[in-house]
Amino acid sequence: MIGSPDLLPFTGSGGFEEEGEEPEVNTLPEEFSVRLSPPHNPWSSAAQFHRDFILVAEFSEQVGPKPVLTIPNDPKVIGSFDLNHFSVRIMSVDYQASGPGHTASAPPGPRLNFSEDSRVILGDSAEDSFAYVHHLTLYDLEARGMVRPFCMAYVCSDQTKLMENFSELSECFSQASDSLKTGNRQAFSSELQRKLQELEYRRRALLEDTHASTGAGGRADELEALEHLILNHRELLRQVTSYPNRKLQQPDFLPYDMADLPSEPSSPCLPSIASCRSESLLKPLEELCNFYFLSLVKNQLADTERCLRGDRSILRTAHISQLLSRKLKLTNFLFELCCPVDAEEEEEEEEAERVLGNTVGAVGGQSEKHGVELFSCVEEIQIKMEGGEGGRATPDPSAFTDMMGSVTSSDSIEVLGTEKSYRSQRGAVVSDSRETRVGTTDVILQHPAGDTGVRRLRASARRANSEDSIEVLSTTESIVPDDLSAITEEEAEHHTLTNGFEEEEESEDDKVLKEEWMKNTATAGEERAESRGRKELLEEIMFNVPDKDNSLTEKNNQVHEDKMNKLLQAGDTVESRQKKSRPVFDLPVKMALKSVEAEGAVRTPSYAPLRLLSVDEFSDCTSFTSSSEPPSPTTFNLTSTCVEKKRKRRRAGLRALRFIKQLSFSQHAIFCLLIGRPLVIIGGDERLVRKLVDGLRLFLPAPGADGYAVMSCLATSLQLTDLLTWRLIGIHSASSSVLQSLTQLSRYIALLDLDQKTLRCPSYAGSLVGFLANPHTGISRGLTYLLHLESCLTALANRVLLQTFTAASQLHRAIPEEKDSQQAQQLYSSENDFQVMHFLTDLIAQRHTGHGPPPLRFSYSSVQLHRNTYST
Amino acid sequence: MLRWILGGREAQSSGQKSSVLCIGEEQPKNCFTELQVLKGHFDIVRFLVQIDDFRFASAGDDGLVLVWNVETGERLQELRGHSQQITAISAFPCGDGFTSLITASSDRSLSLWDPDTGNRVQTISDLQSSVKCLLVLGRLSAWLSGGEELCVWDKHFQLLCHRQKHSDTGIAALVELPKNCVAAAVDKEIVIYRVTMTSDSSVLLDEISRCSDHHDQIRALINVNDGIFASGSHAGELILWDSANFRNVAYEHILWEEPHPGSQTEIRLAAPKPSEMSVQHLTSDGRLILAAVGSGLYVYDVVAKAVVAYRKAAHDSNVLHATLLSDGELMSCSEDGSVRMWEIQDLPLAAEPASAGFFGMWTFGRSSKQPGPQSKKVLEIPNLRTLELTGDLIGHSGAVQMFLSFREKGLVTCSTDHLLILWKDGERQSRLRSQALFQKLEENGGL
Repeated sequence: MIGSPDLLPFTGSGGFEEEGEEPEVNTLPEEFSVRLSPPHNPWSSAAQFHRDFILVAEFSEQVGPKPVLTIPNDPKVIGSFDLNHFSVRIMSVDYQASGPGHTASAPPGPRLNFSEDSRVILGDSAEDSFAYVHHLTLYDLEARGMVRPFCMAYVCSDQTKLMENFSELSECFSQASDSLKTGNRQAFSSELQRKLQELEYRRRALLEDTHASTGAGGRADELEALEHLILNHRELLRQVTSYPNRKLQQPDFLPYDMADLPSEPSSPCLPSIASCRSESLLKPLEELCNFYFLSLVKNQLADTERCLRGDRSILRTAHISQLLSRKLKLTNFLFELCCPVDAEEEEEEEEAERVLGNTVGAVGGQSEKHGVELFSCVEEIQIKMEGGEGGRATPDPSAFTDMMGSVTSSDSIEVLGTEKSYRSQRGAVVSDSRETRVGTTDVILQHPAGDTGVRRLRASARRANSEDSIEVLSTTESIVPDDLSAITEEEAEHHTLTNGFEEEEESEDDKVLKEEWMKNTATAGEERAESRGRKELLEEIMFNVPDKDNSLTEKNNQVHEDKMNKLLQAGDTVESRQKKSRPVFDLPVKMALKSVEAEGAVRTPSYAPLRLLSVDEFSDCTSFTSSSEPPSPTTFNLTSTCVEKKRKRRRAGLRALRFIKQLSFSQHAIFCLLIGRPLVIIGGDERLVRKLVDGLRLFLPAPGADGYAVMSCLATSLQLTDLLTWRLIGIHSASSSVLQSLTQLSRYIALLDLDQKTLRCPSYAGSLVGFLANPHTGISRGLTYLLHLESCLTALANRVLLQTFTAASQLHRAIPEEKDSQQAQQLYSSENDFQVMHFLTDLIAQRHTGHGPPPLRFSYSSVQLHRNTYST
Repeated sequence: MLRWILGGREAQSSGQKSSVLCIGEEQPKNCFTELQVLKGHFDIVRFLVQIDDFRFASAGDDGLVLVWNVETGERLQELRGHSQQITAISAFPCGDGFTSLITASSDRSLSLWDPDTGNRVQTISDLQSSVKCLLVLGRLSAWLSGGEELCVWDKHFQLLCHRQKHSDTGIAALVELPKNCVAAAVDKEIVIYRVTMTSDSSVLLDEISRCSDHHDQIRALINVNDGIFASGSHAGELILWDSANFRNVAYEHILWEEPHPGSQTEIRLAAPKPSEMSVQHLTSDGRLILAAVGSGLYVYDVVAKAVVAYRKAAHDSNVLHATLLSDGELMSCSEDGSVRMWEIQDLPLAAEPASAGFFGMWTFGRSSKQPGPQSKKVLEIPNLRTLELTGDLIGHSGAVQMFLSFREKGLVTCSTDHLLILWKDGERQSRLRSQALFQKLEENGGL
């Protein structure tokens, strides 16, 4: 528990000595890959929660600060942490800071105060509980001052992690806050309308009464008061409904459609609703915010939580490798080493870098200033903050607060940082990401309307957040509740289905590959197979659902075309021109960009089954099923977050490892992939085929954006043209025509028969593939193998790059460099290894100079039939 | 299934042949190790015409003419205008290294195209019949169109001369002979015309001779060299003609089965599958004539007046096009969807397989019409060499109609599966790419 006031320095050793406080070591999230050992380990903390989570709390009029919901809503995560107490602390800090504060100079009548959100980092080092806290206010007609203060907090046991990820947290939480407030405004305005109708009704009744009984003085007063009330409400309604119009200029703003508001009921509501409510409790969050937006918020927060899962080093490594790999344009297409970033974003990044390059001299204080503006631009009042200086000049004195760390109403909790202080100290804290951030803020400066996407560059590097597209599009009539209910059922079913076996799957992971891989499994395995197949089917169905919606599809197509164009012509100038001509008029451009991200997932059905949404730590699973409300399915479908991709890759790693360990001819198959000989996997069990395709895609050179070189399940017979597109093909049902086409093209392909456990392809002899795929390593976990493989492939890509240019220069200068070739000889001993190198260097040359249709390289080499010699 | 291994019907009748034809996957002499698929047509592609060093045009039943770059595989132009299938296409050198394309279509129109811009420069429609063949006379800068009628045109598409229809079948093939003569294959006859330019630049077409030694429809007509031209018929007859006096120089009758003791006419009528011995295509390098007969290939030496090498079942199905490359190398494509590369090799010391095909050999004119006795077998012919399969290209899913070789730059094949495939030497291409990459590096100062 948080006991004493904490003003101790954070380096206090207290945290390290209280290792015994972890009650369940076994439930540690797996990213702590080194198990906790009792004495003196650096991973223990005094925190009473076991994993980072997000807390939404409210300052309730009746009971004061109270927790509203947590993400994930899982007792295993939160542990013995006292949410109530923590809520008190985080709410008490800022309630004064951005509280209701009515403006004195307001015109007669009530005035809505569209107050700023505020962001602070609070901490209690004794308890090792730190939080990024995002305060916001919602409107509620019955609340005092019509304001309900809320806060969303990212609770974490590592202060540095918060500091390092401040911008991302701020980004994500602002987004969630925007969604929440948009939904709230909608709910509020409909509430106001209801109230108005009720008042009008009462006024009419009163008027009729007065006419009937010809005027008593009290009645007139009552009438006057009523009319005043009506005026007030009208004014409020005007304010809240005009808010979107004012905010539309801001690129970040998500408008909601007024047409979406519930149509006015024909008869006035019963007046009892409001009155009895005010006597009892205030509305719960569910009524404060429109359902759609609330589920959106929950998704956004859940995404944020998932994105920031893991300790600092993991996040940092991922971030750095992402950044670096994006810069290695020569080779980064060779192997899918990181989560693929959309080309769109990449280009924007380029643009950002260019702009950065141009204005790097002038960045300093100016960009900082604008950065601040950005981070707090959510609300009506623009807060100007002078870069580097302490003060802020705001037109609204009531909104003025200095958040420089001194505003602590609670004695026991300290404000560790605000966006302001963060900015001033971030140079020290996150030196590596400074460059990008400065760059991006600068871009906004120059493209205020168009390039908001840039702002979330860093965030989206880890998470393809695509909900926004649907958010805007769906505020029209496009989302019919009936449609959704159907999907929701499917979704629910899918989750219950998956829930059972994921645990097992995960534990199998540890049981070192003892489970089924082929058909020689117990019946239980088959059952699982069945249910999983069904799940994949469902996922596919779900995936196709958004296509029903015409407006959405149209938009997607449009954007998709743009994207394709862009992919075709990598020229930046063309790119920027297209961006301008993109036909998204009154929608913020960000939405269009986002929908592009979603497009990838929607477009390729092959991706659908791969996105194993619930394949994660089983704690995820339980949190999912036990969460009271299923997230909005539409947003869910379109979300192809990076987290899922990561998870998918880990699965793929495991599958690849199993392949290597279980089939003696695995190296030949991998060799075929590495020399560009298309590998066709046929099998009777579609699930197994898909799994193997998933695993082997890790080895596939140049898999392309969205893995277009992979065909998980081909139904038609194979054509020569297919081989030019796909280099890894799964065929599930082998009809005779399909088999015939395979035989005809047998010169070009390697054929892996899962049922017979045979492989028809040229033999491999060499050392290179042995590094990548050694069946006798001690590696038994998918993640470990994935890391091993990634490092091997990176090394290979580097060597290929070297060879590409030494070869090119040798050709050009006609000076053979014996040394180099000798060196290469040692590393790659055989002819086959050279074939691999040759293919990969050729890929590089092709990518950077290629014209015309893609070529298919092949060789006339004898083909052997390899049988599995490993006992299973 | 493994068609090239199991072989077709011929192979089954002759197991030894099929084992020879099973070249397998190791083909050290086959340099085509890279392919590009050129998509654009949406019906059978029948014709390929070379325009210059790096360009060629393809045309087919969809009425489209597409111009391609052989080096990159890019489509350069799309010549649209014909509403029906293309029946003939020819390159028309206009001087200054500039080449136009003449196309004829079933919509009874002729067009002249500029392959650089894709414009239709000239067009003639509403012909009385559709044109089946085109012949460009470079010396006269005129060209002929043959169908049911024979017309002479100048380079501005002005009709110079016109001869009415000859027979129901019309002119199947045209070939240019010395002394401004033109040979036209009309059904079973070859009609020789002399083209004379009068002083007022009008043109006269005079029929000067008719050669009617063939017993069946003439399928192929080619120039062998300045002195000789050759024709092949549906019945498997190959006749060499003197280009000066239009006499029959040599008569070769290629048979599938042992000759029946009856007359040629009888065989012809009795032959159950006349296409099996039909001369589909002839090509010559001046000394050798390569005849595609049924599914077999026959190399005929003009000087020795004898077949010097042959392969009775070179393909599983009819051979549609064949070419003599340099150094005794051949290439053929067939309805079975494959392209095969051959080499004329001297026979090994071991005996030639005994089950060779049979031919009747007659070395002189009409008198040799009597079927030869059984004893006239391959083995008795001196200097007989063998056709060795050195490689095959498999990729098309339909009959390969034609191919066009650009030497080291590659080979284009067109097929009934609507595709063109560009076969290249992978090593060379990868070297070129590597050079291009370096060049780009130098130009951009980095990538």
